[in-house]
Amino acid sequence: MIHVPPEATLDHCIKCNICVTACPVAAVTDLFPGPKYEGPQAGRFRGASQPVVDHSVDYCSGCRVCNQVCPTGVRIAEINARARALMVSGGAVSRRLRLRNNLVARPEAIGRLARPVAPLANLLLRSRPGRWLGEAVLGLDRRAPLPPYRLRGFRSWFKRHPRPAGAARTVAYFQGCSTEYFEPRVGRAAVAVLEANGFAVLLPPQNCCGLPLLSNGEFKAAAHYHDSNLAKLVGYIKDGIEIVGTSTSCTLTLKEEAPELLGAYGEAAVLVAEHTFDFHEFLRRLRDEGWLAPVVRAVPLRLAYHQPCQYRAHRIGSPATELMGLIPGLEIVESQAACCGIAGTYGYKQEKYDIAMAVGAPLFDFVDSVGGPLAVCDSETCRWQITHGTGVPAIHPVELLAYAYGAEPEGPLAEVLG
Amino acid sequence: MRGFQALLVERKDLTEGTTGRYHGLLHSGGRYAVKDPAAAVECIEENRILRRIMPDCLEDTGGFFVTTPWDDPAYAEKFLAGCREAGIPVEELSIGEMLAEEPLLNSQISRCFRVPDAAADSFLATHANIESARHYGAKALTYHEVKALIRENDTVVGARCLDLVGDEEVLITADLVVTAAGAWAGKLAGSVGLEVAVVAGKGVMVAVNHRIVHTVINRCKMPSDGDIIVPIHTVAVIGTTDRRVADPDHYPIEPAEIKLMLEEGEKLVPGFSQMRMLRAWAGVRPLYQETGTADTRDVTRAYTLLDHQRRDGVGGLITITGGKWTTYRQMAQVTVDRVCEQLGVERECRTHAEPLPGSEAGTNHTLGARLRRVEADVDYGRLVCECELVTASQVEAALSEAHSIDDLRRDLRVGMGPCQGGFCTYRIAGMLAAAGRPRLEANVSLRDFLEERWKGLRPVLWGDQLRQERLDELIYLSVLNVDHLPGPSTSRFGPVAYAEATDG
Amino acid sequence: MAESVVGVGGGLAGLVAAWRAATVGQRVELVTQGWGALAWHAGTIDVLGYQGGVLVAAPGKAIDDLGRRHPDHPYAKAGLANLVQALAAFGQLCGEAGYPLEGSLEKNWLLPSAVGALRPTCLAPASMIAGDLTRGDPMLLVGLEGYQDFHPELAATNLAAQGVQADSIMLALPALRRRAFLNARVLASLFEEAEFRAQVVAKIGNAVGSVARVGFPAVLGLERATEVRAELEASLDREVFEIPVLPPSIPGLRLQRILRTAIESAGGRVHDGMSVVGAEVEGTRVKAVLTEAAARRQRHSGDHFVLATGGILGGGMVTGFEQPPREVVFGLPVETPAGNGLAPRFFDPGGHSVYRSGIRVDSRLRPLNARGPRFANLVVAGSAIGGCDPIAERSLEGVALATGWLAGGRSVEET
Repeated sequence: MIHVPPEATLDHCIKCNICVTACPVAAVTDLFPGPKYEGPQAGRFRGASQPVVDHSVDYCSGCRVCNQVCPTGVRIAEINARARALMVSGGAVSRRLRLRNNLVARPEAIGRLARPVAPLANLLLRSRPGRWLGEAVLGLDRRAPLPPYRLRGFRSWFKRHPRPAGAARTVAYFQGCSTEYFEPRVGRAAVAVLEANGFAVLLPPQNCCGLPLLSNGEFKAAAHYHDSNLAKLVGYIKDGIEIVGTSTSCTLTLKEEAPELLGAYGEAAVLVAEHTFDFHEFLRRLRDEGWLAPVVRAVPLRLAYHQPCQYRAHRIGSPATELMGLIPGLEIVESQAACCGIAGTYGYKQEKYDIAMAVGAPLFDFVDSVGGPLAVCDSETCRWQITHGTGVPAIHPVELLAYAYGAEPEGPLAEVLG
Repeated sequence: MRGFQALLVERKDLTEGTTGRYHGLLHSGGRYAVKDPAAAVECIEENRILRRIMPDCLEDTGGFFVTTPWDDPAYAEKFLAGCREAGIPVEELSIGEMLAEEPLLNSQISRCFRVPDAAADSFLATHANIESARHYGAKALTYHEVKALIRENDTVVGARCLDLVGDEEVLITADLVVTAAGAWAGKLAGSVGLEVAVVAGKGVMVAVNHRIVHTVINRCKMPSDGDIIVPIHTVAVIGTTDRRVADPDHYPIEPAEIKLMLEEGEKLVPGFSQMRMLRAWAGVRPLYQETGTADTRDVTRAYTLLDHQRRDGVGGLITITGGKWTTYRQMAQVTVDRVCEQLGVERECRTHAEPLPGSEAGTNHTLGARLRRVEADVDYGRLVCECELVTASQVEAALSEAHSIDDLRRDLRVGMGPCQGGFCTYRIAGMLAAAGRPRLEANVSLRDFLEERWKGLRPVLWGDQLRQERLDELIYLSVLNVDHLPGPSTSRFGPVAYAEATDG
Repeated sequence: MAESVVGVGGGLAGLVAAWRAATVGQRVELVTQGWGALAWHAGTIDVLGYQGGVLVAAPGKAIDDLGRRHPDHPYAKAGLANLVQALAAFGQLCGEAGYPLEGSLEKNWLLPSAVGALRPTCLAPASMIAGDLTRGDPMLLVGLEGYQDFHPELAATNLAAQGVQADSIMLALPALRRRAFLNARVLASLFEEAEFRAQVVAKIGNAVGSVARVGFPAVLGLERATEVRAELEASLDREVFEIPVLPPSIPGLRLQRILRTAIESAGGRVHDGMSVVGAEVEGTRVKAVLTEAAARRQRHSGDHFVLATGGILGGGMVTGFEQPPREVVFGLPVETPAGNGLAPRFFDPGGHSVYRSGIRVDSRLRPLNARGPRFANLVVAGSAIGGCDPIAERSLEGVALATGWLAGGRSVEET
């Protein structure tokens, strides 16, 4: 695992402007001068012990496109994220905005409060006065796509889900906040696919991965969340059970973002990182080892697929595309767009909503041009943003796989397949 | 300030000489606490004064003296005693505290002491001084090289200069001539038959691409080569060496010196020798000696005031030489005191009390100040030098005074960052052309600046910095084809190359 | 049965190798740490600009000559025939993509650089050739206020000093003032907007005078470059041409897009952000390369491998204090020319010999050690090959194309 502090990588920067050219945020707004300026360049003017002078670095969306195109290996996005954390701890973010950030960055905490009163909460979140209030008081843009809470979460369904008999292998599922509170159907699909491949799925106790807190520079709180997860998960790994997740951001956080941003490379952190897998990465390995069960039915659809920017940050290629390629009848048209714009909690913020929509515009155009009944994307907030920008419902690739393995479809996929 | 009509003559741009090739250190005096207690006292006294009169030129980094496994542990107690004796504030830190502040330091360091070292911007300090002098009616002639002093019988009456810009001779007459020519003092005195044995002691310094430390780090041992790392602006500078050279205008940067810097740096900061080295430079310090000594480090660093009337029977000339940057003000004070005496007037020095221009607010410079200003400035989109955050308006304002892009660099720090002029050189050449300067000037200015940057890059060019230079080559050769532009390949404002290295 | 090719390095050489391999039916995966020099260079195909300090007028002939005098030069290894094929194929690809390249090996163009020097190149996009300096007719150069990477006055004065009549104008436009950060990417997007183009044309107005051609910095659109230029020409009623500027290079990025699209259309994949950190070898065969991924290494197995990681600029070769250049992926032996490595002057006419370091290859581009080809299924393309300084001699794209083309085809012939 990389143990070099991100700031040390700024020495590799040769000022070539490739990152600036690729950055989807710098392309649409002056509020963000660009990755080169914010990361390796401003980095030479910062120090942990120095007074905070930053302002524009807060407009980095954390999409990590810059890292992907940098020819010399500067960890630009991580330098920016840590500079933002210094801004926060240095008191450079207003109390109001910090309150707002902390609220949107705690989907689990809010979820626990909202879920028991889901219908009321959803009503409020969809009502104009509710949204106006949210914007005026907290800076939550009234237009941003807030998904509806589900009364019954994934964990509660899983508790009643019968264990498959004679499963050859075991795997632990990291559900993530979105599956628990908003889209339990994704978790159900994941379980179906894993069980179709002979796995018994375990659902460890777990909490929010903490990425929204990391993205908002709230490192102390994020570390608390991460440590808590490590304590809950490391036992499974020591028992030889691996962790798989359908939320690309959660798995990336466990693999890399939390250790790297927090400088947390203790034994548990490294073990969990090395044994956490993206869902399709896990299936691809099965396929390579010859263990992948064949699918049983076709999906006769032509759909746009967007690989989230955070997925690319895993640097594992396109396993989702490869796996979807095994489904007969399914035609996947891949997006070349850099980022949908929402970037986790970024696009929900009043001062960033318009930027997010401008960043996502090429993707929205692409989805429209493909014209399919659904869009496919591994990240939940991206799905909501795509639907927000195009009106096209969006699903996780695992839902297609689940159907191909014979499971009952749910939600938008069910509606399309009739 | 004391009412004299003063004219300063400088053969190149201000700070082109030793003053601009500085380590960036405002001494607390700790370095001399054991070896040279008198110098230590001078340093701490001037340290306090400069903090009062030029805080804007200083960054209050503080300093550490650390005992590494390579240092005699017994020295530390002598150091403490010497500091106390000299009145230098000193306190010991635990190694845990030291590492909390400076995590990259060698964890095998056994003792650490904090002293009031600071980082000093010599360019800024010089400009502040000359601005104040001008305010009081003084004039400064840059690019005027003194070819010889003028002596009539037993009195020096002036100087014969060459104006490098206009390419013509200029004669200056004066009641009194003060030579503050550093390592060149001997040459000047020699031009009127006086012997002033000033030895040129070359010192090499290497800048690391970024601030690996935010505190001045000194080895707690008898002073020698490569035992200080100074954080100054966006870099950290390790230095220095001390080699006697025959000609203050012609000396090499030896690979062995670079190697020594890297090895010594490695002792303070493990991994140092693998870090990106940005640049190396060398300057010559003036070491005055009445008799010859082999190792220049043993020659006293205290300064020397030579009243040639008393010493040689030749009036109208005073030489001030030796010394270190930290004590510049005191050197100037004693010199002007002697000027007053010779001219028969009594006027008090006030330089210790009056803040220099730019320092009226009384606050120190901070590392992030430039970034803060740029973030707040509506012009921040037009960064000419992105590495060092220099805006187009700043360059435009300074253009008329500059005879080369290197002059601009000394004013503004353009070209001093990681890309070493990769982007700003073209931009500034373009601005020169747009400002109506003759075309050949833009072309040769561009070439001269890239050569000037190359001179300090070459001794440390490997790894990331070599990759950077190759990109700069791609831009200036292959994209722009600068090497096939009309006009001369260098001008009289171009760089003076270092001598070719002889060892290794 | 289609064999699999893994390319390492996404610069021009790697992209061309991957493209060729994909179009002949190989399963291609190209991994690259980041983008390559296409993003920085002029967006032209430089084949040979200078030889021994002398301007090359006819690159084809000069290469023939060069090959005989310098048998270690990549052109000698790849052979002129491969260069010819590669240029033809690449030219055809660009033409089909609606972005034609003009020129031939018979004659170098002399096009204006952003500083007003005369820049030799072999193939140039149609968007640049109206700047042909052998034409002799006057031109107007247009700069954009706030954009610092093109100074038309400097370029015009230098051109005029070399006998080419050129005038310059700086345009101050509201759209340019609204954006504080004007870089080539932002400008390229602006030029793709009809309203912005209209503002530009209106502002130029009568300054266009009687010149037949108007030069702009090379920012005239990224995705719709041909359309943008056509519309400008129609509105100005003059020929329009672009001049390459400081990085980023929009013309270079256009070429990168064309190649990546071609690779993907042929079923290949290009992965950014994948830095090779190791290789698995068995005897004389490379089995796989390993790339750095989040919390693990990603294994890329293949039947054939192409190393196109570049030289010192590309990062394929690293140097250190008192350490000669080292090849980072396979640890292949690197030949370093004798001499000081770095000349005393930046603009030394002989260049800096350290940049001629590289891997020694045979005529099949297989890397050689003392005993012969080290691997049976590995070839090297681009600036990773030693024996020349492509920047000093202005052959960056030519070397990449000739060797990339051969490398991509080589793996076919291996089967």
